[in-house]
Amino acid sequence: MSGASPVVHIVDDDPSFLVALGRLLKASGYAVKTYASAADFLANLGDAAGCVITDLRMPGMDGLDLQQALVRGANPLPVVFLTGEGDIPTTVRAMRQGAEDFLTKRAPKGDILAAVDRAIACDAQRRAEEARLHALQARFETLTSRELGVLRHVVAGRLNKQIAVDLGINERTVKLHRTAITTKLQVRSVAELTRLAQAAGLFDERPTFPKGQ
Amino acid sequence: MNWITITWPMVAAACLTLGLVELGIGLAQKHLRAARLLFSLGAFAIAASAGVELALVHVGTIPNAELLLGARRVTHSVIIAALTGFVWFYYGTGNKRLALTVIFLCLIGLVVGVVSGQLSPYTLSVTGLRSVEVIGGVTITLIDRVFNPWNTSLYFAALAAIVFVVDASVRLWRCGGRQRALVIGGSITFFILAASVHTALVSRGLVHTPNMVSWVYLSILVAMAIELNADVLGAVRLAGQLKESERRMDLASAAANLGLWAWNMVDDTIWATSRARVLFGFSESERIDFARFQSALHPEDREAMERSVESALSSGHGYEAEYRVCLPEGQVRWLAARGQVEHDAKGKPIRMRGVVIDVTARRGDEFELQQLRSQLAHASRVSMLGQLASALAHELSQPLGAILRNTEAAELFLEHEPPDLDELRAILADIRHDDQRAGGVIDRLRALLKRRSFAPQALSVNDELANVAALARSDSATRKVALEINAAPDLPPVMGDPVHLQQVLLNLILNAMDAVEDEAVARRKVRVSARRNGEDEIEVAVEDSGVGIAPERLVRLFEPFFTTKANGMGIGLSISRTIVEAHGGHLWAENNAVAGATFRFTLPLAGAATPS
Repeated sequence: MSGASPVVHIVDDDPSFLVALGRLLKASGYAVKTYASAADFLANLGDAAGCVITDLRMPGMDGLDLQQALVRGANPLPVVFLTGEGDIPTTVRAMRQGAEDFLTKRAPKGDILAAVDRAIACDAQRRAEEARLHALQARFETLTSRELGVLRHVVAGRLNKQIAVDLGINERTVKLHRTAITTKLQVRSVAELTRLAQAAGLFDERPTFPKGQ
Repeated sequence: MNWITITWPMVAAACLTLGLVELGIGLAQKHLRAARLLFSLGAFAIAASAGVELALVHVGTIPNAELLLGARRVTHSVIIAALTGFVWFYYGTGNKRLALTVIFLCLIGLVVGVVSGQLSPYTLSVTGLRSVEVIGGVTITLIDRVFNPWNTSLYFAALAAIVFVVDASVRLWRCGGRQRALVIGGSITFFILAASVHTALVSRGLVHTPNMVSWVYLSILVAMAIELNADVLGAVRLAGQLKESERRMDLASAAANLGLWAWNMVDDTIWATSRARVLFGFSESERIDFARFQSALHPEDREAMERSVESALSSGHGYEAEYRVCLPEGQVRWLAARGQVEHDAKGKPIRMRGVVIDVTARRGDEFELQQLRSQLAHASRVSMLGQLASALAHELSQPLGAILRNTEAAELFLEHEPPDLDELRAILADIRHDDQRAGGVIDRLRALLKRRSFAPQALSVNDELANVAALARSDSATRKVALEINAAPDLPPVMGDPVHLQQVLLNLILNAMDAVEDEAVARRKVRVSARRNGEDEIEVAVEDSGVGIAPERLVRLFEPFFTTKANGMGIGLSISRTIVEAHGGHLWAENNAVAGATFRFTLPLAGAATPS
């Protein structure tokens, strides 16, 4: 969880409902921002934590469009859908795209607050994981490219001798690199090293190494 | 008994009869009264003259002969004066001086006649009497006379009368009364001449016959009577024809179930045929005036009827009205009346005349048809709102949701110490506003769902457009159709039924949205516009950006049960057209130059023609 308190973003083309829901959430102790349209919201979206409550039916960009844009963007806040009336196809589509919750506009207050809390918690969790990953990736970034090359072979379970042959270097040099890796990453065993590398998303199918922001 | 004692009394009787007949007619009617009275005076004088002539035939002594000759002069004076006067009055033209001359000479003749006999030695002329046998072996008395200038005045009177009559006849001939001039002028001239010549001959003893002047005058009298009574005879013929045409009219009106009526406005009486009386429920002998007529009408229809009468009186055009009549047995009958106003010489309306017919059956059919139409329209509205159901539920849940959230927020604010009263006030105001919003949706729905008949009123097209847009907006958002409403500001009101008008608008808008549904989102456009078209109508256009309408469908589009939609009933457009036409407008479709189709309809302004 980042330092700022989470913000609940409400998007609805109906000004009356927008104000009313804003009031309720503010009175319930949330930081609230309201937007009259999806475009307005996306234009003003920072990287703050929180969640989005949006009307499903809106002229122009509707709730599902908003969700899609959000998923593709840099700050994929969880989305809670509110709608006047739910029909099955839209609900299914929304859930498939990972809607946090799907509620009617006249759902009980408890349900809405619970959904908001869940969404915020979900966002917080995602952010925490992201932060951990970033920290991990930062640790791997201290390694030189030669050390990274050795690490790839170690994680793949190859012996020092095999690594030396593959990389065309001395077996002793391989040992030195391994010592440097374990020191820099502060791990004690190969098993731990493998787990860390996996958690950092190293050497999976992705062709390029993610550079930290 | 001989032919003389038989024929002279017959002449006298004929003259008396003619005189009495004309006297009767002359006293009874104004037309030609003076001419008829003079005619009868002349006729009586001729009858008297015939009597005198008969007495002269058998006269025995000279003094008696003088006396009878005097009487004859008196009658002849009267006859000539009466004939002259008759011509004067009957022609209506003539030379006044000549007429006065005739009268003056006749007066002299009259005086001479009266003083004849023993009274005046100056007028004596008889010198002797002798008996002669004439035709038929009858013996008559001939009177030998000497010339006496006093007795010549009558010849001059006759001469002056002939001149007067010829002059008057020429005048009349020139004015166009050719037949009268010829018959009367000709006969009087001829017969007076003949009578004068005959008298002169008999008086001089040149011809041995009785005096036959009365015969001659009878001929004139007959010619005059025929001419004078040609009008009367014509009137009799006319009366016959009139009766015949009245009978035909009765037959025709009975066959057509028509009642005839005439309203005399001067004394406020209404004449009505027995058929008309039956239609209104009046008894056969009852006196009808306008108030009585009004009282027979259905109270709701009285005002409209009065307006029709007033407009007929003020405009001078025909009178037309349809109204219900409440019969004594509690039945209601629809009557249609048509009439014309008649004016006096000053242009003041004095009478109204017309027909009335029972239209209950037609009205009943119309009523049934209207019922059916309104049921169908209702069914179509319900089906249309069914399409909108989900959009409308959304429309309703917005304000209801807002009210709920505001209430919950208010509860939380109340727990604060102290509670934020400003915020609470704002919340309450918002709740009220949202409640009204939800109520508006429900009202609109209820109005459209209600079964109702056509009830026109002055309304603003823009208001109805706004109402319909409110219903369709949410649906258009879901279907991602850009719905644009372009109403010209300050459109004058139209005469119409708001619900039916909304139905037409909604039908056209929903159709347009269906038409663009398969287009790419950016191209889904429906534009509704209203503008004034010319002096007396408003045109509303619903334009879509779809693929347009195939030409062969364009003509069938408004047929009932013609549909191109999988789940359409095919009644929407046909009902819309019926509704628009009931408003006095037109609804048609056309393809756009670029893309899509446009449905247009017109509505007459409230001040223009009234919808049927």
